[in-house]
Amino acid sequence: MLVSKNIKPAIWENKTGKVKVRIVAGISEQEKYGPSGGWYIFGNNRLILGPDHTDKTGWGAKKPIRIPEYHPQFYRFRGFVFLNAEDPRDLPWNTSKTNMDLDSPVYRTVLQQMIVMMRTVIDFLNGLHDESNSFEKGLIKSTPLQKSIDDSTSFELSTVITTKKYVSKDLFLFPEPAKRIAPNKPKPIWLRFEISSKESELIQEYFDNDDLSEIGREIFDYFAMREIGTK
Amino acid sequence: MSQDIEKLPSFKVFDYRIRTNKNTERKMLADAFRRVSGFESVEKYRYIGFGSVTFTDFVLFHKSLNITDMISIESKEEYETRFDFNKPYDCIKMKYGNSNDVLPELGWNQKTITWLDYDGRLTDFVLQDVALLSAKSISGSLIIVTVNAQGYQSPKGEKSYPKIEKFFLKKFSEQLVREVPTWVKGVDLQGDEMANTCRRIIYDEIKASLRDRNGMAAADDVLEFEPLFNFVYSDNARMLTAGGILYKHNESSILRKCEFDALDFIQKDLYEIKIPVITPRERHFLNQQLPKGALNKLKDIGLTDDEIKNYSRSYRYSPSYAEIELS
Repeated sequence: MLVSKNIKPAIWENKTGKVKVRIVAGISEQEKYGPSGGWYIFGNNRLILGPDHTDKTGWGAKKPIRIPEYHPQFYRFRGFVFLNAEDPRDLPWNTSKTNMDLDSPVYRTVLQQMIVMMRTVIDFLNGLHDESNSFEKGLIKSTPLQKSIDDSTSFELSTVITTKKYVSKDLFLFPEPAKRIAPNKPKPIWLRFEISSKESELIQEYFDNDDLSEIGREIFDYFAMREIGTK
Repeated sequence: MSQDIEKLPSFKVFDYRIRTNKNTERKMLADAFRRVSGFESVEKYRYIGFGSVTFTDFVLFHKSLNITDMISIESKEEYETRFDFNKPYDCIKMKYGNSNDVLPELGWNQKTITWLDYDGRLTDFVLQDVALLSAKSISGSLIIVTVNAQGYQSPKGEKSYPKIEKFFLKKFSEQLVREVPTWVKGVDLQGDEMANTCRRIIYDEIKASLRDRNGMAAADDVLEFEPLFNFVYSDNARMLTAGGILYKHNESSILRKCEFDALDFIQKDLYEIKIPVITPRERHFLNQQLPKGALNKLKDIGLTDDEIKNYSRSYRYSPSYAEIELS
């Protein structure tokens, strides 16, 4: 997983119940077809599910918050869930131990937490995508999100989990995106219509003005003043 | 015309500082917030709200409760300069973006009062915020939501109830942008019932989110939700403010000690905030009998029983004139 001064995977732990849970969510290298992206769920250190891109692990979720479907923008996403129980029967897996039991109260809690945690990673990856577009269009001067990736180091998951300074409690940590150079002014809307040359002559004469764009504005203002009023 | 007005940010249309019922509601909430001290003194709480340009709620809660950790969520990013300029205190942090995006990015390790005071109606967007707050807010935190809950009106001339009901349910499903719960009938969307319906949907969402969250909690740690605020009022549209407090199962004695229900506006049924329009002379006359005077035996000064009742239960909070808070 990638870690830097301002990128830290989110970690969440619950050791109070029969099932001990640890969830880690962050990013890794970009792969061409994204085969390793997604969630991995381990039960007593055995991989039960993953890499998973389905609603079983929150992709396309609607509750408690919306999560998009897995797609290339999220290839960097890596999430790991470690469930450990003294009695394996307490683990939220199905009877053949090959998949998650989606109705288990334990898994419902875990999944709710996974969804909230993946959201910040997805926000970062969406931001990264927007950043590269905005930079190409000259709307921003710097690319702090890309830079945070360039400055990051790839660590083994086991190192990340055991090193306190490499992780961030509950929330994936990432830098503030760059501010747009020009403030987002509301976009002007263009109104066009066709008139005949006869009509154009008449109104040019009426307004004593040759500039049709100015005349167009006058016509609109005249209408707006009478029919809409000042706001 | 009215549609054009709806497109403008509401702060450009209404001055929220001087809407009497809203003003009263805000002060009632502040009075209730003081009572969280059994969980933690209120000044240590964080407040999250929609401050808009006037930050009226922020000013009140900072001044009267000394809350200093405050976050204002603002979706109208194009007015960023104006919001930043109008921010009344340094302790308010601005977070730009819509609440669906901003709330998941916040940390939730501290007790928080979140008041999402929307202008619009109850929608899936609102319910997602509600679900997230319920999934993340810690014990002792308050979750409060205000939405427009104006009842639907039957289409003009339509007399067939089945057709009207079908129309209402379709409209409500389009409003919510999600499936309408099966218990909702046409009559639940008319008049004052709309507020009851929206309130139940909000509380159901909180409970569903808590159910997921509590999946692995020990019995004592199970988080529960106690509804406190069930306000309705009409400054223009009919508004509903619904909300309450999260507490752990083994903290019910702390909750009891807070004595929220000693405030008479905290009740299980909808509570109408309705400040009567009365003259200063009438006000002074009524004040002299309050709080415990025999209001039912007053000499007749021409006010209705309803006006007197509404005044007597809100006089501690109602502005005595159109109050402009120059902060």
